Amino acid sequence: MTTESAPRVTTDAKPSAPGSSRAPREAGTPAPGAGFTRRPRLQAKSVLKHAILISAAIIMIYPLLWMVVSSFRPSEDVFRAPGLWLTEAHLENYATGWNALTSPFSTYLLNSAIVVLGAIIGNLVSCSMAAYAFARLDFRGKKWMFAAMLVTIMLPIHVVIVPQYILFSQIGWVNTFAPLIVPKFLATDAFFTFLMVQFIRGIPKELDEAARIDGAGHPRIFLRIILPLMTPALATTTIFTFIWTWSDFFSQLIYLTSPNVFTVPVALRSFVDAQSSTDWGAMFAMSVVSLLPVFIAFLIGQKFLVKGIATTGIK
Amino acid sequence: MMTTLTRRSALALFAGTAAVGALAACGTNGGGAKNADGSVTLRVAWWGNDVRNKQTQQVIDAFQSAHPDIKIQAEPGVWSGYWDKLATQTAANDAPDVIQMDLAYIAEYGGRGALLDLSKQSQLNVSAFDQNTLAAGQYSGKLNGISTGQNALAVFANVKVFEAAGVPIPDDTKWTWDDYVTTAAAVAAGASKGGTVNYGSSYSFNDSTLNIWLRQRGEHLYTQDGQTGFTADGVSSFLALQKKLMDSKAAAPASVAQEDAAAAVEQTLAATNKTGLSLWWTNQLAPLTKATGSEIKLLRVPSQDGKAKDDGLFYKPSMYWSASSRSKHTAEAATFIDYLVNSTDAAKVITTERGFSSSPAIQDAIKPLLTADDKSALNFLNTIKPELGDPPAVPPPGTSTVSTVLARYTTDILFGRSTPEAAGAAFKGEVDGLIKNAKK
Amino acid sequence: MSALAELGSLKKSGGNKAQGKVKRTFKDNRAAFVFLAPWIVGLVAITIGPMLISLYLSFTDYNLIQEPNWIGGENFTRMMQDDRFWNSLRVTLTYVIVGVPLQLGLALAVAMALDKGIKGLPFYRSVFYLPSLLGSSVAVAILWKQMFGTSGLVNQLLAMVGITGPGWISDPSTALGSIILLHVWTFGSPMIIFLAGLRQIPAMYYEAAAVDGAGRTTRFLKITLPLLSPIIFFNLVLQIIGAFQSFTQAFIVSGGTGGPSDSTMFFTLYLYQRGFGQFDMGYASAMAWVLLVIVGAFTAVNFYASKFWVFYDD
Repeated sequence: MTTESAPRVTTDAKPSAPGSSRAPREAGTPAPGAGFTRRPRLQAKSVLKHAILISAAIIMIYPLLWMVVSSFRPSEDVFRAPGLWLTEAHLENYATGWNALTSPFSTYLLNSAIVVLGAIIGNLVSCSMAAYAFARLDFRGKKWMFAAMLVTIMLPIHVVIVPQYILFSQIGWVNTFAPLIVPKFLATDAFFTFLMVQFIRGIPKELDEAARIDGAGHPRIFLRIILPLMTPALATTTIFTFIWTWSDFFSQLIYLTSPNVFTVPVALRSFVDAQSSTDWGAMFAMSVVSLLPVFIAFLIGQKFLVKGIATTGIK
Repeated sequence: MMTTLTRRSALALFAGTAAVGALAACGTNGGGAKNADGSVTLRVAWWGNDVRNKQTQQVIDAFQSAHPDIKIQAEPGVWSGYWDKLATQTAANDAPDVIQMDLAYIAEYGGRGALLDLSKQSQLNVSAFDQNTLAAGQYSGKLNGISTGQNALAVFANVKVFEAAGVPIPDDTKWTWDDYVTTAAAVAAGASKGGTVNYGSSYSFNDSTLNIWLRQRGEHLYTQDGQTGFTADGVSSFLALQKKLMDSKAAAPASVAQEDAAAAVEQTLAATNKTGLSLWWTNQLAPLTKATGSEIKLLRVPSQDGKAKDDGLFYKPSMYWSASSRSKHTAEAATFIDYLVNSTDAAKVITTERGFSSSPAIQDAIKPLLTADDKSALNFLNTIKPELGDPPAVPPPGTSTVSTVLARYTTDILFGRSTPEAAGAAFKGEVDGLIKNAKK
Repeated sequence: MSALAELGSLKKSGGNKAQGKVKRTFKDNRAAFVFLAPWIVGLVAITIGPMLISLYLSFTDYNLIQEPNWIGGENFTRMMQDDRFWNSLRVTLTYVIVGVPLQLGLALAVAMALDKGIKGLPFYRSVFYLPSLLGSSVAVAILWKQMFGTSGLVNQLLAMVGITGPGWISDPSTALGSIILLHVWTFGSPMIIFLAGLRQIPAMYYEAAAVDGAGRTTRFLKITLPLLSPIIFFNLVLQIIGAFQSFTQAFIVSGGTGGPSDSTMFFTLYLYQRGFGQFDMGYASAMAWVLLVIVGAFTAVNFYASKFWVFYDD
């Protein structure tokens, strides 16, 4: 996670600040805002701030803690025992939950991992390319196409899923991961394209101009300047694609029919059939298991979130 | 509008219409004719929990070893997603060959020609089933599905709660709805002590309860020719009963009732010992016995006049096996359904998971395998058998959501947002509209 | 990979940008075509077709099982007389107008608080994001009932100070509010985007401002807000589009019914019930296109208004 890997751009790239005066940045300058001197009053303020943040944090995660605690309770006690007190930890929910469905839970984790990985790569490649065009290139029908892109995400999935299913079933893709992955390689997630457009537009254009004067073409500017500078946007895209695909239920339910290709969200719902009884302890246990990869992905991914212009050493 | 059609949009429209054509195209895709080795692959879909999934898979395995020429691709699901998926697949001509069906949906699909007429399939022997069982699968002259077993609606009396309340369990051969309200109020008053809260009775938002109520009044939810068979008054009086339960403190206040209606079985008031009386299908006895940790007595539903003969009860098919009318392997599908409903080997695995089969051969075969809960449910079914009236009509197309419509009006009543009179009329209007809307 | 190879070949045409300035308009048509190729393929192959089909179906009585019949504008006239349609529109508009500003405001405030080099930043960021990780998991519905049920945590706390709380989720007058709260609770996503946006603001701007002796408020108004405005704009546009299509939260909390008494019957939830529950996909498609027009209008207004407050460094 060193900042050394980030590209350095020659100093003749001069972003024009809204405020005209410019101070040269010295090596080792701390993050913005942190460099102001601390006084005792500020320290008290900081304690207060942490106190507020911590109590807010507890409220935020109370329901999650309840879920984790419930996963260690016998199924019958889940709705009877109040609060977070756990007298004894029952691990058997994890054992039964893991093997409760047609395949061991690892199958579903692996299937989800494949879908998620495909979706992430697809979104990163296709959305960043489209975003570069919309943000930096000058072409016929740009506004019209951008509007069209936004319109495609304004129609609720429930009315397009049937025609889309027909399309994919004609190609023979039903019950495979293709309907879940291939569209991502075709920049159908306008959310991320738009997100990247906004980030690219925040990158000073002087950087492109400088590279262009050095003889770089669009592919090179895109790969060498824009992509590295939009690391936070790429990290955001990665994290969100991971989480949203990991928990997306409807399309995975519709397209995956055999238990051996089920993904985590489809498998998790298999625990809860409205018409029969449910092993809640096992369901909570597997919910916790399925949250772990997302949480780890988030922990890793968030380090990249902070690698913006502010920390890459570019003025 | 059409005059300014550009070449590009015309092209797109063409692509669009081509796909629409596919909506209606018959049998153009979905599982080719035969596998390379001459065998046939059948897709079989059902909903259920892990217990049912494992049992069904076991039956499938047994069937496959007996029929090496038929391979079965299992497609298990759960209730909530099952119908979305089936609708999508049906729209794309991609429905599974063998489909587990429900009473609420059998006419939605069968009435629109999506299900195979099983009476025309020579591989399926239906001789073991009586006329009423078969009638439950018939709609517009076709056998759309074969019932896997039956349930009846019963009042579940939680013995522990009654004991705690010091209230005797009433005589269900002659109790009326007034008795029901009085008993529930007594349970609520008696069992609420110390830290425990007891509400007496649960509500029933179920459209089958409404149907029983209507049958007691000589009305019907639906007629045999697919119309509503009730008056606004009939529904109003049912809704007034719900309000009376709440007002006489024989059932929970509105907010709690609403939560109860949305809760999973294990979270309901009945399952958490917060009510003494509740209405359930007989096949829900096992989960409730487990959740409450109490003995549960099955009682007849009260009647208007105190005569058990007039209590309007009926056997409901717990679910059906149907086949897709667009299946390319109808013979094999019928063979598999025959195995599911007639094979004693299959029955010994499934036992009562899909209801009590009405086939005498199967009843004999599973007798030694019945659990205590099974026996008490079966006992109830046999006790009420002489009292049953005509089986109710199959709900016509358009009505699969009627139970949620009823729940909405009941909520309105309990929260005082509407009167039973107004809600009864509105309910009838809405259901009539649903049926009319479903007609082409 | 082949796309990358194509990119390489573009280098030449992109190289002589100096003369490009003369012919101002559309100088990058070819490059744009290559960069947009995946999107164009996706649009033509898998997006436009289904959209147009749904448009066609909105003029039919399509029930998913039988062939659709053309019925003209009947679905739309029925919609105008459908009280439940208007109710769902009202519920959704309330959700958009109340929920979106609350969520975005909170997300921005927390992002700002976290951005100022606070100790334990990764910890807080994770904790505040955790609820969003749950997404639409089945567990959420149960968790939310544990919090806001008649005997849930919130009412237990209220009981300590002698207040009897309502059944937040089950009472028609508070149910929508509790869904909005659930929405606000998952403010993690816009927060992350704000945080990423804040990191994109060059540090030297703040340093320069500090040298000039600018105060906190001035720095926020003169630097943070303008430079973050594209990201605020993005969140606003996308959250509004998303909120109009809000489905999952109400679906899982109400068990798919939109209850109690239709008080959480969101537009898309009603659309879904008509389409899949009542086999009225024609009507559902018509609803979807009405929604598209409404959302499109909101978005267009947003874009128009953005000219006055969004700052691009172009």
